[in-house]
Amino acid sequence: MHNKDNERIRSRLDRILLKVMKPGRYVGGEWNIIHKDWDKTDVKAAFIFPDVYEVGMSNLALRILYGLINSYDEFLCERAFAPWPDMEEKMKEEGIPLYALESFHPLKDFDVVAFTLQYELSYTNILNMLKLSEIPLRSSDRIKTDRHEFPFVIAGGPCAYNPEPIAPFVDFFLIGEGEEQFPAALHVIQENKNKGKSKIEILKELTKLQGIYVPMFYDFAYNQDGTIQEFKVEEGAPRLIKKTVMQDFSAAYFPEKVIVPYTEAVHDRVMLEVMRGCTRGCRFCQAGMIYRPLRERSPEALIEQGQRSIEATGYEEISLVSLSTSDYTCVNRVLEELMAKMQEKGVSVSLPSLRLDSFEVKIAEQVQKVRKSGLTFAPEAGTQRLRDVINKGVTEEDLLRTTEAAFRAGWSSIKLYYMIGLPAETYEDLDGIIDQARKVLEISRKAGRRGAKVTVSASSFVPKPHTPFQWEGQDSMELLKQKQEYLKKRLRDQRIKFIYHDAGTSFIEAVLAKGDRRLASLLEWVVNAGCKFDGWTEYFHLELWQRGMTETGIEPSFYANRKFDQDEILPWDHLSTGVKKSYLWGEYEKALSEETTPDCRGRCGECGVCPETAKPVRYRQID
Amino acid sequence: MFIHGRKNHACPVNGLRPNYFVYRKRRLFLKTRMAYTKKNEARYIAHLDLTRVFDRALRRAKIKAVFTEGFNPHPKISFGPPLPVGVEGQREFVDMELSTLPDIPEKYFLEETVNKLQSQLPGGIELIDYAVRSQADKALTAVINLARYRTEGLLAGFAEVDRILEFCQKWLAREEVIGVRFQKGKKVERNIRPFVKRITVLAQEAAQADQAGNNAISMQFDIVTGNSGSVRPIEVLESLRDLAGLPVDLSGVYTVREGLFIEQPDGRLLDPIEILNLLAESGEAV
Repeated sequence: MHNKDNERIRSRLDRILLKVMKPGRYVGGEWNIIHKDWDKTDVKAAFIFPDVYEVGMSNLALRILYGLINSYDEFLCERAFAPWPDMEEKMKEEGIPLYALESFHPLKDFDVVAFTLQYELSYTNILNMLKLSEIPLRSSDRIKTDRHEFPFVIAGGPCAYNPEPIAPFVDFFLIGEGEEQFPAALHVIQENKNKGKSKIEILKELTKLQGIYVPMFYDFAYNQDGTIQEFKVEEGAPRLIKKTVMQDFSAAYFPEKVIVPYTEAVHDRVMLEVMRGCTRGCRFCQAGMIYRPLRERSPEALIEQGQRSIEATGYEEISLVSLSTSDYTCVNRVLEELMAKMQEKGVSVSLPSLRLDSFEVKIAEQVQKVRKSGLTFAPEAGTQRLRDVINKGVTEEDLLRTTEAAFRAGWSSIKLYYMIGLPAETYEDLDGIIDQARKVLEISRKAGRRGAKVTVSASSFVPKPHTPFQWEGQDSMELLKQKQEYLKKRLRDQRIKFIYHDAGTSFIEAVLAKGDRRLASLLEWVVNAGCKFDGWTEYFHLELWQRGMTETGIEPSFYANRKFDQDEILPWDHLSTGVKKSYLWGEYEKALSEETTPDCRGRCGECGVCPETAKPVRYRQID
Repeated sequence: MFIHGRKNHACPVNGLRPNYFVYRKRRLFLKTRMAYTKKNEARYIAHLDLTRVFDRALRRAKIKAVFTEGFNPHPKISFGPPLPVGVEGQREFVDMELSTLPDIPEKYFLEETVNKLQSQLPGGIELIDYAVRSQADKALTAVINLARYRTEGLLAGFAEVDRILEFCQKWLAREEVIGVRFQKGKKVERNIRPFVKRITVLAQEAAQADQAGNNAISMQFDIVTGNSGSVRPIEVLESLRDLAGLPVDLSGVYTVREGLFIEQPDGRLLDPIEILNLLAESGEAV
């Protein structure tokens, strides 16, 4: 039907590529790219990362699902990213719609257009990308006109656990882990499309799969005060949509032949996912709740995958990734073996974020053998009291002991991550941050690193759905700015670098994170006004958002700053991570009374995930 | 021609297969130079990304590169002067230090290496020539002093070759031509005239005139390159348009770098691989 679309796009592209920054983002052709026969595949899917190429190519979900979907003969999966504004302008001038990097087919020609929802601030990019693809924004507009003129617009990823602000734009969401669910959904589409079923019929069929949320089958009624009065479900659709989980994570598909970009990606290395889930139970952390239970991958599988990945990609670095890699039971063994095998190939092994208490000197020395870049620690809060509130089970002693070990092992720059605006925070807690930075400097001096530098990073707390703090309100922008100023004034020191996030950005993030369906019209408004790339300071326009709120009658503090009631219906109550709401509330109450909850590897906290959703999997380290 | 590793071990004598265990740790370091094309999609690979591209291709091909010492070891790979993004290269150069074993004949090793490496390089990058560098040979960027570009563009309306040459002569007669360039958002002004050595009009065919009355024009630019900077042919074309009145349409110009040379004091142009072969034949030291 659209056979020549791709050739037309490709030939037009050459005229504009020399006029944009980093044209390598827009031409594909990378090492290990998969080209499949367009005419010989039943279902054509485009995996879309709604941010720029270098960011999107760093995403593990993309790597996994791209390889996985393409491993099926009947499917094809291509990639698309948000064009940088300079490219967008040129594409519009030349009349080039958004296309996929493999075949240059416009997104409109695909059967399924799948967005990954990694952060709320990418929502405007999703809408903007649909516009650039000439696909109607609202699901209802795509369905009413015909049966299959437009692709299914679907989405998954962490933000799908409260997708309400973008629900009217998406035909269905995939809740949970996609390795089994995504192909299953594509198979339903394939079978039913072949039978000549309409889109609505296919969507009804899809609700029979676990973790599929079709927003058009659900509706909300609201109270006078704006809170949700009632949640209505169309007959046949499930009342509670429960996430899907990979039960056997060791056997889960792992992409070894990943695409190697020529333009450097943000994370341009082999990423070995050592485990999924985290047992720590930090109360602000959404990932720690939604990826439960903990499932480790076997050390043998990891070492094998690491070696094969290096052979297939030629990468010079392997990173052991997960929410808390140093908690992985066999981390020492995997590190040792991988490094022994990789050193002669000029390949280094690295760990991303590290926890203070489990960061042993042994690991420090291991990693340091190959590379000595800066180290990052995340105490998150400045005092023990506040760390107890958020259940970040680290002590100042941990911090000082491990930073000392790091300084002695040769590091000279250390980054400390904190959050400001946490529930129950006082100015004493901010003083604690200042105090800690000074103590770390003091330690560096003692350890003989006189030129050491400490970077203090303070991000603003954003309450997230499905966490114990989901009922909390965010500090007002004014208060956050005051707190930033407070720290800035007191951290004036040549050896300390203080960085903080824009309060306006965090505010919009909170509005969207805790938002409901009524925000959809606001999103449409701001996208039409030109908002995009909100996560990039240079493109974030708070004033446009504020104008949009006035125009569409949205009171932002209702979402961002208000404390939600215990018995209120939350906009995401119909989506289940497996963690009981009562558990979250219990954790919230414990937080306010400064009580901690131990790591659930020691004692089960009875959150409700195990064993109903999946069983935890751990490996034993034999030294 | 072999250059030895840290242990300074002697070369094996012909016919004698050395004991593997003796030589296992004593790999030989071989300095190589290769010529390659950078065409099609590969022309969008930025110069700064090329080291990574070659390093990864070597690793996939299981060819051992020699690494620098220190905390952040990196492979000893170096390129000639950068090719602007989007410009095709017909004969670009890379120097790589590779590690080999003493019992493998040099010629065989090189051939093998080129074949293995070629199979792991992105489409558009084709290895077309290679040679062994002598020990004391200087880096590519230190010796290459001339780049030859060809541009193909459209002229608005027809002009005789003589007329075009006149435009060029008028431009070349100037002592100073200020070129403006944007680097990291900053405006940089410099005299671009000294960089332009020769301009040749290759072909200009009225027969190719399209319906709008445009003519294809192909020009060759010999541009000085080296440590004191260089100029892109598109900048020269722009300047020719603005200062000398050459009616060229800049938006559709296709540029290719045809070659890189070491211009001798007598004006002879030597190719960076040719020069190695010549030296090897004459047995001279560099």
